[in-house]
Amino acid sequence: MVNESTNAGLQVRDVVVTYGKTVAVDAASFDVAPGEVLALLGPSGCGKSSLLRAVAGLEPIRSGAVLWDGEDVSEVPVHRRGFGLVFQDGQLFPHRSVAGNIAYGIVHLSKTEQAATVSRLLTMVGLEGYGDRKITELSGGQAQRVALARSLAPKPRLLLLDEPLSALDRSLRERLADDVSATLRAAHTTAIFVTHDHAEAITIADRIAVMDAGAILQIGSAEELTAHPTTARVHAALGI
Amino acid sequence: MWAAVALIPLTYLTVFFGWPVLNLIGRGFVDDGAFSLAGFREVFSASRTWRIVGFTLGQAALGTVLSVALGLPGAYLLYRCRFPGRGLVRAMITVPFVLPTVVVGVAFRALLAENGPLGFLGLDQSFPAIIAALVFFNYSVVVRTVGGMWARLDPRTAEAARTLGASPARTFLTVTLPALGPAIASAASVVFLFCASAFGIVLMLGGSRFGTIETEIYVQTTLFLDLRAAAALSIVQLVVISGSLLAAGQLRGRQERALRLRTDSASEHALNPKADWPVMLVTGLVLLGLILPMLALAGRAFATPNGWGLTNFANLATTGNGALTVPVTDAIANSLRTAVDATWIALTIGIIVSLLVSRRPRNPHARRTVRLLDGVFMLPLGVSAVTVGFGFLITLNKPPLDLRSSLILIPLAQSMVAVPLVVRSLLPVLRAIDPRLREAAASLGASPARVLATVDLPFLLRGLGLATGFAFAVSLGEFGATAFLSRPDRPTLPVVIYRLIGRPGVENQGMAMAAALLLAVITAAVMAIAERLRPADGGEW
Repeated sequence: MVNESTNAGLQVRDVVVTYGKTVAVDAASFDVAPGEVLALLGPSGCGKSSLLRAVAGLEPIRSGAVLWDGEDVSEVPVHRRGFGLVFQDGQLFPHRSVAGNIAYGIVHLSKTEQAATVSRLLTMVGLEGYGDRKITELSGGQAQRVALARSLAPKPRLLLLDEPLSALDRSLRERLADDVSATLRAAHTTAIFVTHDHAEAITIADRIAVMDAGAILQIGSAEELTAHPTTARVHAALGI
Repeated sequence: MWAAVALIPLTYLTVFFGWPVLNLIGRGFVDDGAFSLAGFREVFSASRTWRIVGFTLGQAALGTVLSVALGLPGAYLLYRCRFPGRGLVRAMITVPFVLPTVVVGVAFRALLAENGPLGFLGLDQSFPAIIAALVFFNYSVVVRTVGGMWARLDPRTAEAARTLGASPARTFLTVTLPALGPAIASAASVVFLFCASAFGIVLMLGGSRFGTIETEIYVQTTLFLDLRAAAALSIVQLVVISGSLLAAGQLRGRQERALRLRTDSASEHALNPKADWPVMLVTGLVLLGLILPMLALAGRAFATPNGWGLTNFANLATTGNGALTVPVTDAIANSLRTAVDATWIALTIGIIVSLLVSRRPRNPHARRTVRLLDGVFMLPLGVSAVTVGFGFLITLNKPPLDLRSSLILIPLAQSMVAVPLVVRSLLPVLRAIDPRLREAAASLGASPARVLATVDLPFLLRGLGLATGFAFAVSLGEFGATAFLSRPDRPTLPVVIYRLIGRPGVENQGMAMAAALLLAVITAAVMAIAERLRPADGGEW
């Protein structure tokens, strides 16, 4: 934890993402402290997923910089960045078992260490003993739990979650939001959680960045935002 | 990295496709080392040429119209109606399409010859025989293309028309037919392409009276030794084929746009003989037409002067009655060896091309390059096998690259024909990979090489069985290119069959039948295995 306290965490500085002439993300800046969970909250199409993908290194940034602990990682390719990503629909490898999926990112460990990690993570996400299952045998909620476990296995310095719960039905989503929140805290994970659901953002995140039309409008804790929303749109985004 | 890998297929394509084709075009335009249109003038002032061009387009048009007219009822019956044995019928109609052209030619000769089951019609080596064989070959193209679309049409649109007071006929004409339009047009252009480049069938069924541009290139080369005329004709054929390929591409693009509108609602109904009898009747007759030639072939293969027997098959160990220089069994061995070589060449090139073309680079230049590569490797599809064979003949027979006596010449030509098929069977499985699956792997720390090995490779392997079967079957039955390149002492099975059927004598004819039946069975078996390995549509494992 000594390391964490001296670590500057993630700094996103004036990041611009464009698709052709369309500006998806317009000079977004924010910080995420080590161990903190930040929610990016906004309606669909507001650029929050593009911003997340830019942080992950999947989307080239037009200008600006992504820094980790003060070091510019903008040019570091995805697989060397050490940032994990959980997709909306899991994107589990269909030709691998549950255990095979979770162990994908930790092949540098010994077989015994891999098995131990897989079983520890399965317990953490509430799927003890599911290691040998096929991906096709999982329900939507189970698949997302496996996707979360898979992303946590290589101990990413930063975990990015792209609306991981939005494909699930309402009651399952609420239950899983609590579980994800608990899992992230248990692993002391630094994370960015993208969502369009303000309740989910409040449940899971320490702070919330409200986004609209490619720009970040306001950042703060749920209490701060509800108490002093800077604009009517922030007010609306929080569903008050 | 990818740029370096791209050099392998590009070199292959340049040396074994671009160079022969350019050389061929050059031949047509150059006379005594100077640019000249003399070759063209000579070819086009001959009335024979115009008759052949007219025949090529005419038989292709008629073959296409008939295939579509008969294929539409078939598509309805096999893709909109439910009945026991449908799977079997669907499989049955596919068989003719994968049969080598020499087999189809021999089968129709067996059926229509004077002593054949339908000999009384007097249609042996006639225009109707050619058209019937073309329809035999292409029927399943229409049924499968149109049927596939028809099965996915949302039935509710037609139901809406019915509730608005439209009769079934008006509903079909105003709702269903327009929706099927792109699929029909796409199937028709593909069939036209196949018919316009018909070689083996016309050569065997047309006798000396009928010829297409393709057979004329062969005749000018091998009979009249007029390479300049053959080159000029090849250029004409290039124009005809690329024209219909262009039209096919345009229509396919439109179909893909239309397909996005589909819903996945089930649209089949149980077969209703009271309403569906005309469709059943037409399709039943077509099925009979598909089965009869093959039955006739089998019958003739097992016929001997004294009843049924295996004499014809036993004779395959001989050189026939003065027809061949080596026994047929040697030709079978040659064919298998050639097919193995052609298959590994086609797979090597095809896998590289598929991997390259399935990339979706972000850089617009790289993306344009990928699209260009995709198109470039479909080019051999637009150039007939005959043109490939003729191009090889006049290009790779002298320094700097003299492959005339090399065993690799025929496999190379056959692989050129097979590569587009390999790419077309591998690309869909690779393109079905959600790009985010690769992103997920990268975000877990996988290097690009590991992404390729752990994400792309498992998918690629699923399509590989089909691709291998395609390449092997195509090479085994390849006749167009091989006819130009085969040496008398080392013929392939299709070449031997063609030679035998052209020779008089009961013994030679019987051997041709037995050899054709053998080739049909081997090809069908290879394709049946390949079809079993075909990946299921969609991402189900």
